[in-house]
Amino acid sequence: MFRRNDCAKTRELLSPYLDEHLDPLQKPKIEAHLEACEACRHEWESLRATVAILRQTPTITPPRSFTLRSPAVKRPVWQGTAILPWSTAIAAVLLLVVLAGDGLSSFTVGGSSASAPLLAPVTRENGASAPSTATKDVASPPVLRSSGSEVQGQATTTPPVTPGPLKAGSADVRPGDSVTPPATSADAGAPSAGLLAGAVGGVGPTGVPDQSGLTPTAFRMAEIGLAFLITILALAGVGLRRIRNRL
Amino acid sequence: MEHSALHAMDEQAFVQLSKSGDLQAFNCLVEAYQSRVYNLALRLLGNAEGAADVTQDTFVSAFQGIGKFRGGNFKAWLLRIATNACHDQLRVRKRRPSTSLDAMVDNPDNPVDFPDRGETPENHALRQELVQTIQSGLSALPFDQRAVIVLSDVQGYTYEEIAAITHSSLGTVKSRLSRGRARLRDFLQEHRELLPHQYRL
Repeated sequence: MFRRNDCAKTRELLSPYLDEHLDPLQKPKIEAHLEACEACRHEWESLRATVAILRQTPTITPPRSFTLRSPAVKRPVWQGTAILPWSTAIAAVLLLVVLAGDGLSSFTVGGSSASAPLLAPVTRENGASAPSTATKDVASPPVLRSSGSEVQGQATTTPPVTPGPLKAGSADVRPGDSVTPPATSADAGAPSAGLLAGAVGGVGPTGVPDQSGLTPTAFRMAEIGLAFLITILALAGVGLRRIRNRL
Repeated sequence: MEHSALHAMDEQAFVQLSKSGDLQAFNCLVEAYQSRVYNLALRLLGNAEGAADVTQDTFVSAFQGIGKFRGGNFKAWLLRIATNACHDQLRVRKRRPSTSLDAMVDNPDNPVDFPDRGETPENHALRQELVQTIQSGLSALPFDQRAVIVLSDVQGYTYEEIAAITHSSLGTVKSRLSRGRARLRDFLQEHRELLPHQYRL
């Protein structure tokens, strides 16, 4: 009697044994087992017979020639279609870079600009009063709460092109007050005024360069342009794939 | 042109010419391999019409994509295209089952197998019966196991060649072959009455 484990192992190796693809060390073990175990020997014979039957399968002559005729074969429409996914990926990365630059510049150019909510509505009204939609505490930068001097320092970081009423507005800020600077108070803070405000509404201040040397308008144009390019490339890829599949 | 007549050097030259768009050179490769591709498709699909379609599609795809062939084993590359095309066709058929696989296998017009010279009508009928039983058994296997069995036991490729064609490891080839043969044996034992007397397990 053999242990079930021995028989299971032997049966697993019968197929490579049949093809002489067995480890030289395993071969004598299999042969000894087959000699002694009738059940496995029966298994082996039936496997050998199965393969012998399969080898009886005739080779059929193809019904026709499959040679290609030139009008029937069209080379791919445009060999450069392979670059489409890459171009899309590069455009997407560029968009991310521009968005990151846009976001970073809004944080680095003055705390007042960083404090503006991303999608807050932007108004042209000057003055210290916060936009009614802005939540007072959440939108306020911590630095404005600490001391008056810091508040003053903060206010002086606004570019010199800031119109007069801004200073007047900033002067109203008192220590301890929860202040949300008006979105219009810092032209340099325009990037933070949000993509929608700047890009769609076009009401944000324009033409003022930030620290990176790019104007907010340039950011908006780059973002819109890249998003448009990605859409075009993706659509072109889908369209060309469909055309190629029809050929 | 038979495959054996196409030397490795000639094959390389034809491949290079095909890459530059020489259709005549590519057709030499078609003639060398069309029987292998057709028979592989026939056994994987169990259907003569589908096999002809896949064979044609394989050569069209190969010509269009030969620029991507980076050298190496052209036959393995070609047969991989054919195997993938068969797999795709079976998947499409599964989604849109207009005709069952069994119906196609049992169709007496499938595959077209004419009597050999000197073969008696009885022997031819027996052989047809055997082929149909084998085809039914192959069609009952999962595609991966069927492909390995057809390549090994019907077409006679080595483990290494099968690994290159199916893009898998030697261990995977061995295990698929082992499991596929065991399942096929069980099928043939269950359908003994379909086998000619001398082949009954």
